[in-house]
Amino acid sequence: MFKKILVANRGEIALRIIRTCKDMGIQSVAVYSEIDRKSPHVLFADEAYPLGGVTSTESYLRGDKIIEIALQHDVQAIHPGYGFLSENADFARAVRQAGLIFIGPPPEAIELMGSKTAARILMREHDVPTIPGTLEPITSEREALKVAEEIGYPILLKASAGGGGKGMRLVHRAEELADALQGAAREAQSAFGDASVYIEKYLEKPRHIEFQILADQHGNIVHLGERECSIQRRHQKIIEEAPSVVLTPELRQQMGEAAIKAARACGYHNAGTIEFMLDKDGRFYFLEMNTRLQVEHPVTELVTGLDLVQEQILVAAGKKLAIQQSYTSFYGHAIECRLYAEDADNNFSPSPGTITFLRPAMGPGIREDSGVAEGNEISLYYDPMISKLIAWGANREQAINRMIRALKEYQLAGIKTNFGFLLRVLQHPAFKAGQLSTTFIDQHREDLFKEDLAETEALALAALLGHVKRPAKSFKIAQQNNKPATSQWKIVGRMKNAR
Amino acid sequence: MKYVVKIGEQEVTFDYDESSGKLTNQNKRDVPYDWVEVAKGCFSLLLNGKSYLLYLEPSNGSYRLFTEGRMISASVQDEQNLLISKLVKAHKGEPKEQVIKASIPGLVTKVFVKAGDSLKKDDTVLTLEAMKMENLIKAPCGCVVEKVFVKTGQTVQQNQELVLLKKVE
Repeated sequence: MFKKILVANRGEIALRIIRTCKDMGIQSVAVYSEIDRKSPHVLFADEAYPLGGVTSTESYLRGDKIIEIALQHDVQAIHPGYGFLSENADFARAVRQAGLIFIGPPPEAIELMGSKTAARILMREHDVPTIPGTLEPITSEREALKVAEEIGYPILLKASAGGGGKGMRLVHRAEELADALQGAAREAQSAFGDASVYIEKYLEKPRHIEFQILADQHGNIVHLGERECSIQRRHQKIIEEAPSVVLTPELRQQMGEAAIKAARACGYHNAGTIEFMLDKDGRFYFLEMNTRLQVEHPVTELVTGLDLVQEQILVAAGKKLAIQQSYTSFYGHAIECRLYAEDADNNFSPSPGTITFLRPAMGPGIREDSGVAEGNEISLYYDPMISKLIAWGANREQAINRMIRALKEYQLAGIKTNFGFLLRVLQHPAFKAGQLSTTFIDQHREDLFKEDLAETEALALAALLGHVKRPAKSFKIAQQNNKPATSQWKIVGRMKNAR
Repeated sequence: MKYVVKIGEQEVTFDYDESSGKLTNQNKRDVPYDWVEVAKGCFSLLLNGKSYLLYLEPSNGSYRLFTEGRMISASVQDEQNLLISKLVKAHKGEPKEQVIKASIPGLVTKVFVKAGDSLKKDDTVLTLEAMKMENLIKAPCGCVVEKVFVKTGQTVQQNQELVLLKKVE
């Protein structure tokens, strides 16, 4: 087994991997950018080395530096987490060439599945159902119009190299196509350094159902059941659960077998996820494969009792899978909420700032995978995710109730968060009834973006008491550093402008 | 001393006696409250037996309240302040012009308007890319574009002025 693993990531996932290393008695090495010196992943790793730089490009994407650090400090394997270099075949190859082990799939599999179009061609060859659309990137507006005409509007434009909702556009009419094509290409270029975009038929009210697979280097592949990730905003998941309310044992078996087929087709080993769209009539289509650990992996861990990071490490070390398909069973229900620093009422735009107060939620059935501490800054340079809350219950209702309890108990101040929005989703009758689709948020817009007028009097009273009972000087201290205190006249003026 | 607290669009009036700490609401009823600070900036309020836990943060002369996943802006004004702002308002009238500023630093990827354009509420003014996401900046109300301060491809700082809009009555 490995003696020392380097974690080439930051935030919650870096800490998550470090924790498993500790559980397995493996030394962990963290790397960090200039602004992450105080981040928990640095504080809790056995060793930590600076990458320098601030932006991702200057720091966490510097594969060369990361490999150099690994070689200098007797590291045997590198875990890339998710995002950053996790789906970068060149990096996986460079790790291998340096004589180290990449805790993930072979670079060839990353490459095959990383090109969304190549992946779809491969799936068609292996009888895994795919969505109608182009298999090659679009080269001209004229071609796009022609294809859209053939498969029928609405269509989706997607970045060939992408994921995470970046470089994606929904087009309802031919006259919107040109603008959308430009926007998607521009976003794809800036997010992935590759502007190519392809077209796919847009399904009405589909569910996003994905299957977790594990494959060892001896040809054994198992699936660990599904996760439903239909609740999305800006094409990014925010609430995920396992199992899905709509999967019958038969459908689960069919989709699981398709997922295993997909993994076998690209010569996969390690942990991976096959994403499917499930339409209203129970037909499923291959969407893409994520050749890495996923953000929402904890829900699968809670219903299977496995530690997926440990499984990844064991597979990378050449061990055989200990689990067999016939023995995988699921216990209870798990839900995950992604906690973001964002303004739900302002098109979910990122809301960076400093966490001035933090008291996480606890209690029965609650797990938190966090990567921040009080005093940490959520910066503009990285993803605005703060943390992940995961609730387990004996059944779906209990899991939802526990999640609601935890979100209300969670105290975090200093930045705008999506907690209130998540609560509105979880408490919505349609969510409770399991009537989910990827358009859920749009569909229930009126209920979900309502201003919450509850308890106004109590809140007003609290503001007043805070105001009249504060120590005489606290207000001045709270002002921006060394600016003189503001006169009442100015405050009046500002308040007026703020209206 | 009388105080008016604004929570969003709602106003709540209280009378607070500085020497005794007694509070009465707008219906002249006593408000029995119990208020303690449990951690720096974090308060427990018991009101008619109901328990509230909240965090209070002064921000630019008003407050931000954090409780149960919500962030609420509140402003507190006493009688004197209210009087002043009423006078100022009467003197100046409501502002008709509004400068739209960048809420986050980013890159202006496209400007859709030019000076003189008439916009409807929610028309897209420009797109601002930050954190690899495109953010649409929309017109807050029916208005005319007075001035555009930025160009496509320009990088902007937080609070940098983007456009000046004039409200259409």
